[in-house]
Amino acid sequence: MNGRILDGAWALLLILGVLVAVAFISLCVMRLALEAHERVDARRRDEVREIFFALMMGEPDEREAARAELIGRSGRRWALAEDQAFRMLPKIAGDSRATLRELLMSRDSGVRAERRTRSRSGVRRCRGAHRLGALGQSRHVELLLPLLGDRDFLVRRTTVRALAHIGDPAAVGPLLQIAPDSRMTRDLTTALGRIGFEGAPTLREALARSFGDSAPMSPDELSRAQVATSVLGLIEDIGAIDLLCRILHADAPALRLGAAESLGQIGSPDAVPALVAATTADDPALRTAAARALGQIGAPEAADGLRIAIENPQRDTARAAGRALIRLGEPGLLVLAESSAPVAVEALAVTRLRNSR
Amino acid sequence: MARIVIADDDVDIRKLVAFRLRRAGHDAVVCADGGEAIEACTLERPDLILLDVMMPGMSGLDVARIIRRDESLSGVPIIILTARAQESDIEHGFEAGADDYIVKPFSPRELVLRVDAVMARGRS
Repeated sequence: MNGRILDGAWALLLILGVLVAVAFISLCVMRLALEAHERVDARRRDEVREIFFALMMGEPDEREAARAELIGRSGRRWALAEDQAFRMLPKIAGDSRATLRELLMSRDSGVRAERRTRSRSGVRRCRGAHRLGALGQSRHVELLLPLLGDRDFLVRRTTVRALAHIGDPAAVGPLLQIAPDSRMTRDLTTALGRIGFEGAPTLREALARSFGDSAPMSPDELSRAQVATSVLGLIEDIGAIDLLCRILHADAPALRLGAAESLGQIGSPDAVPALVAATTADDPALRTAAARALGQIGAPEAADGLRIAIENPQRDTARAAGRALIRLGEPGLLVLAESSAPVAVEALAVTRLRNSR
Repeated sequence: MARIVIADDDVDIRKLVAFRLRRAGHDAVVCADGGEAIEACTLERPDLILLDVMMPGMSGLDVARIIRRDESLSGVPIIILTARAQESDIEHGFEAGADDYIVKPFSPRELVLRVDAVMARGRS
């Protein structure tokens, strides 16, 4: 009986050993195959990259030969070339980019990308949106806008980035609509910043509408207003100064704070009176942000206004005022010297120490 | 002809820059990270260094600082390649010792013009 059990155990051990050996060999073979595939892929990419370099930067005869080679490609060979072209497109500018884009358009890459945006697969929709963005054609904006409402978060985010690449101001309004999704805030702000000045009128209009409404802002409206406020600062929109100064009195603390920060980024002395007034506001965070913004603007006329802020019992506000006064140069240093506030003494000492080095 | 060290972790960019600079008559040495760049600079004694800011391990700004501290390399002009075009990022580049910066995406033609201009400035 015992002998039979022992035989069975040995047999089981043997089977297990064989299975482990087979699994190990299979893994080794798979790894080798993968490495070989990667090597072949890298070599093919190197080859096609060189062809693109010749197309973009070669002598006229090299350009012609490269174009003929790329136009003549089909099936998987063209898919590889197309993939490589889309990888390079966002990395270059000028004539080279135009050449690459022109080749892709002539090979109907835009049409294929558009088709992908309608795919059932989220990955394909992402890729379609990314490629439409890389092509940078304003006519693709209309195709991309519905994807801002896609069920897949990654598709929505890729679409935001694609619209940023295209940079058409027609996308500003629809982009603002997705501001309530906080996961999107960073991409959205970058995208709107990239669209730049041309989008400023739409941002100002949306902000004025939300702020001008007598009814309290809904959370969604507040999110949109916050993003618009932040982008107007990012693009340093001088036309938004009056509106942002009014927003310093908004009910929502986050919006007031955003307005102060944006006014600092814009850096115009026109905002000094409103910011000086905000340094005595009830909200301590606003007082601090306003003092910091005055330092960023660096206008000497802010020195007198900061005289009160440096005496503020709230240390953050007083320190921000101290730093701002240092940034104002001579007029600010004079105010610090005249003040007996501990923060003023500290700020002056630090400045002297720095200057002595 | 000048010897130029290019450091960028993006293979497309470093090969593109190398191709364009070779076509302009320069000798290009390519590196994939900051460590390689330091090594290449020590060995090759380049006439100019092109550095990407964001690289694995050592950033381009760190490389620039090290080069500026090295007696034998401190005079070599450095151009920073950066995807970050904010004023403060550019400021950090100059503080680290860069002579010029090029914002990505860049035009290969403009890159050569900037390289030539920085080297001409260095000679004068």
